[in-house]
Amino acid sequence: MNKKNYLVSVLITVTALFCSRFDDVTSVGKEVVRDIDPSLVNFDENFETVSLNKSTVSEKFSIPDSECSESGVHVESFVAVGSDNGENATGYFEFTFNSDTRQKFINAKSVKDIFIEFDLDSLSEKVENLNLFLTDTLYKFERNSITADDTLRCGTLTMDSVSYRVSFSLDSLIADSIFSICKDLKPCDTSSDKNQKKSCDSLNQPDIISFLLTNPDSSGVINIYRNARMIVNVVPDSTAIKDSVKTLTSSYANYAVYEDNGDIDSLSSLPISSFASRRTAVFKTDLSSLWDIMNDDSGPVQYNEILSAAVRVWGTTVEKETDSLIVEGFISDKLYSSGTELDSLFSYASVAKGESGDTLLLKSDRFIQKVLSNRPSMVYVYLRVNRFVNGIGIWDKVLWNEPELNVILTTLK
Amino acid sequence: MIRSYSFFLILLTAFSFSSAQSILGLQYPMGLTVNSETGFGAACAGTGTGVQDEFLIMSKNVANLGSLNRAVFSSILSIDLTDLVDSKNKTWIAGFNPRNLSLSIPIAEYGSIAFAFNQNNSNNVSFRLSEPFNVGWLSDTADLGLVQNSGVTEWKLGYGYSITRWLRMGIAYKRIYFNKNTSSVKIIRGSVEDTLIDSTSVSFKGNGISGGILIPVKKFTFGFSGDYVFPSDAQQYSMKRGTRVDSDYDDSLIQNKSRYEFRPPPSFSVGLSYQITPEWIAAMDAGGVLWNKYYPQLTDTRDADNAYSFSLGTQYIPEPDRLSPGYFETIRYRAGFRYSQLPVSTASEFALSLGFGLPLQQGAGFLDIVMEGGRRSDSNYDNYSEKFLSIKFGINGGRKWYQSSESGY
Repeated sequence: MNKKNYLVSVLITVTALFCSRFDDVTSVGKEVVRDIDPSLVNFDENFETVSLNKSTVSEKFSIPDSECSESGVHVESFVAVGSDNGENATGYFEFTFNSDTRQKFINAKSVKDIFIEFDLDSLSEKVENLNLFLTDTLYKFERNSITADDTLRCGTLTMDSVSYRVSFSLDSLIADSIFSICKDLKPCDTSSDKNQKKSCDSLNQPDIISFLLTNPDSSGVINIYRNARMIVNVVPDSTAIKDSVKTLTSSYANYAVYEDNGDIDSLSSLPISSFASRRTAVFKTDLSSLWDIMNDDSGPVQYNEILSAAVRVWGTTVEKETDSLIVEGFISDKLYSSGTELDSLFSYASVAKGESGDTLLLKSDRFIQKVLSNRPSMVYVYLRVNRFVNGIGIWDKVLWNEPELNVILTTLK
Repeated sequence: MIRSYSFFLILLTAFSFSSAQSILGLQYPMGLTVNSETGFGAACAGTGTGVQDEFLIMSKNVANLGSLNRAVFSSILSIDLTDLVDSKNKTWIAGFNPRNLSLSIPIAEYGSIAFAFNQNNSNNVSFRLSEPFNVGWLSDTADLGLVQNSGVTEWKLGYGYSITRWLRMGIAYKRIYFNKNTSSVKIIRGSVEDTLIDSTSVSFKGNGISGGILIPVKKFTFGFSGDYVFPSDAQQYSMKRGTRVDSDYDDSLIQNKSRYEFRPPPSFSVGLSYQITPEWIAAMDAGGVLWNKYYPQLTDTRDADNAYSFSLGTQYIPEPDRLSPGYFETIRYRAGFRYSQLPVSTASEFALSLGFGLPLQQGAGFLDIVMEGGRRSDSNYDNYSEKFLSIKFGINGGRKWYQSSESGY
């Protein structure tokens, strides 16, 4: 390094050290700032806390997701089927037949048999109780009102314990019906003209065939990977040169969890949150004392604005899959009973993460600020639990203690 | 050479990350007045109203344009270090600001025109107090903050003419921009974090004029300069962030806009210089900013009073007339002193300055290096003061594009 470079390096280092001594923010000059506006340096005139403890909770209960709203329908990497602690899960699978799918069956003359195959994450004796039903897409999100007339048990179960796989051989009548859908390809011009291609697609509207998978065994659930397969063995016509086995993969799968009818009333009297069934805990809370403080203009300062608020929640874990817990909270001056409405409101929910049994804080200032203008005497604190990561914590269920609401008030000129 | 520029760039970038601060400046309607003079004025503590110096261009007196006979440019930037001191604490703050960029072009025997950008006022303050704060069973921290950024910049177009050997006159149109953003901030940090910001922005754009005369009499030169900005509307925009007043759950803003008449204060200065010998020149200035003409008096500042100032300066050139002097004999050594009242009656500042005008190669111009140190205080606050040190760098240059009929060989 020559002398000039050495000098420049020293200068840069000295400058950097020199600059590092400087501050961006200062607390010096408090007297000057006080003369501009005394409230700028007075903490007592800017912050006031209000703690509303459990004595302000007048009612506590929970709301079932009785109509099985969209959030009660779980779309995961697996499909849960079975019962767990009074909650029943049924799986739903769809196969879509469009013009591309039907092209596979152009050279098929007839169907030999059709299998629906499912991959399991583990093998258990409960698998033997699985039932497959042909159903309607109407039950994609709605399971509670399903009746025996709406479904058709449609297969015979076989199990492959080596490959963790179960398959249902569909009854021949159902297989024939599906094959007729496969063959239902309207003739169209296969030229490369894009306009002709569109008209060909419009001639061949997709058909969807859906299945329900149930497990009447109440001792637990089976996890099934969401990609089910439909294996169609066909008899090829004389022009066919390819394999006669056609495989289709399910285009959609979910599972819905609903509570046993007999348990709903007893559960509703408790402030319980369940992720699987989307049961929501509710606490009716009296905010009168908060509004009294905010309305009080007798002192030197009137605290007319909510700076921050948090709900402190803790509960007893009724059911847990993991030690981790995600809580979602929401406060409103209205009592909702519809799962669909709650789903919409919980899209704004505050979220807290912690361990089971922890005390968690849910930021709530935006909810309290929203009711600031009409200052209702009672508000409802809604609590839900959510899964921690995809596929884990599905069956978490928590019985909550009365929450505590802490509010920090300030002034807004 | 590239390495030198890189170093200079790194230096300026480092300083530009921080901001110059004056807590006392919070009390003044348009922030803290800063000196933006170039050349002689920068190194002589702002003296120059009665000085004929080409590199002053029109930074002190627009009539100086009447004495120019070649194209000249001048610029100056300042690195400001401020030490805020009260009875318990002290804080060092740094900031970097370009102060002035001027260009003058002679138009033969018709005088000179000039264009300039300069910054006249500036203040950036980030003040914050913190205290532990208990929320239920939680221990958080509460912050109270005040953030203010303010400044006045001007674009100026001037013309100067020499009527006789005894009188130079000049007049300039200027466009003035004043902005002041003040935010009061309340913060809870920790488990229940939240922030409420109450901001007010004032914006003013106005037109003004500057005028001046210079009267050289033998070794003396007398100068007078004045500035006036015409009243116009200022816009005030208030905004509160951190509350939710709308129907949804996102942060919403409470906004309010208003307009009111705004009149910046006029200012004047008188100056006198004396060419003692070819080597030495001494100058003095006195002036004032007439804050009693300022309107309106806002509630977030103290009532402003007229602020008068006085400055002295001198320049020494060892060999001004020698045909082939040594390098150090052509350096312009300068020093000055100034005392200024600030816009409230109890506050003032004084400063000492020392500078060098270093000749560049082949008569291309001068590199000015100036250090100005001083103290700012207010008798209302016995335990609080601000010490400042400004390091200024200026580049000055010029070229003769025509031969004046008044010049001879």
